Amino acid sequence: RLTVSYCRSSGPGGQHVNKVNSKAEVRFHLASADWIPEAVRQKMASMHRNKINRAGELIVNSEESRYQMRNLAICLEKIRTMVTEATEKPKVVSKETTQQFIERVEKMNRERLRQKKIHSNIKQSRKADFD
Amino acid sequence: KERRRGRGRYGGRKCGRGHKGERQRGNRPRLGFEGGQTPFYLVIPKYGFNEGHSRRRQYHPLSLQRLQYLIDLGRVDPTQPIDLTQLTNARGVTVQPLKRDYGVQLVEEGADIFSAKVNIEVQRASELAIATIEKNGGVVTTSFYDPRSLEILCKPVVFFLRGQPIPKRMLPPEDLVRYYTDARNRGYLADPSKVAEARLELAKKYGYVLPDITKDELFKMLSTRKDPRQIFFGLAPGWIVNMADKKILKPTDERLLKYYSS
Repeated sequence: RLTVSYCRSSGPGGQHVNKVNSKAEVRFHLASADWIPEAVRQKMASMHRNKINRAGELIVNSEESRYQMRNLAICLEKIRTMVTEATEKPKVVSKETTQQFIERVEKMNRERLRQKKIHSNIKQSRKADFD
Repeated sequence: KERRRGRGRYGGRKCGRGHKGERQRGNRPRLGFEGGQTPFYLVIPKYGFNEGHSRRRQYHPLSLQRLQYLIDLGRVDPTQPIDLTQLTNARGVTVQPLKRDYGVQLVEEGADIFSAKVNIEVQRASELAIATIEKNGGVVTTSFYDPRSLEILCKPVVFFLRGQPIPKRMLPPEDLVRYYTDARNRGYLADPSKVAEARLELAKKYGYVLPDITKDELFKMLSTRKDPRQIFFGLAPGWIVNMADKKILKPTDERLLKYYSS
């Protein structure tokens, strides 16, 4: 279900770059990929809009390593991370935790003002005012 | 004609020494002196980069490209389990046990070209190398040889001529026990079931179909592994090999047998 193709990578490297196929490219048709749930598919389509071509195929390529196999492994790893990112649900902050956050912020402000008043008292007590 | 006069032996006149000063009079300061400024070799602080280098373990690298080359030329037999002895006899690698070499490690140099089904035993192997060999249907094992057994392994004939009984292979030191009990490195002390799991994991990671070696005709040969205390494939520790009479002597004393089977 995944189409894998190899070609020559870009960049400097002399004869090795010119002759050895080290860039691995993996494509698969996103809409018909039945191994990904529907909602996740749509999320991926919106997140990686730039990597989908007109025919609807998601393209992942890698040319980081000198070896085809390692580039293929990197491509598969990238696809896995994409799917996991699309599957994660947005964090739901419960009411108790929001309450706790507000309380914490208020407490911090109160403490800060208290410390400021103490400091101000110290500075005033050093002043000598002759009336 | 070019201006080369001066006459005499070695040039003549100033003899290539320049004009007056320390240069001509042969009194230049020592190498590295920079006229009083703190020289470069003293400005840089000392740091233990090479400290203890003579106590570090070295493993001779063996690339998959070189292994493929040896198999193609027929120097190494892929139908038999490949061992350090086989590699040394084929002059594929030259190991120097006296120079802190602890064996051979597999390197991924020819990963894309490699296509040979072999049963290999090395001392260290990287992940890609293990993956490539298993993709082509082979078996990799990593095992430990202490320096004495390594020397015996590399030069068996010289050892047999000495007339000493084959010693048992020692177990790895503490820091290496962890490495050799790990299934991911295919250590010889690891659990076989965990090794099978690790094979599946690698297949998933690198995206290839793991060929089933149980259905292979050479399965028996591929699955031969050495005992942790054994140095050679056919011989057990405690035996003496007599090269002149082509005989093998085995110990019969109870205590010796108990010691050698430990």
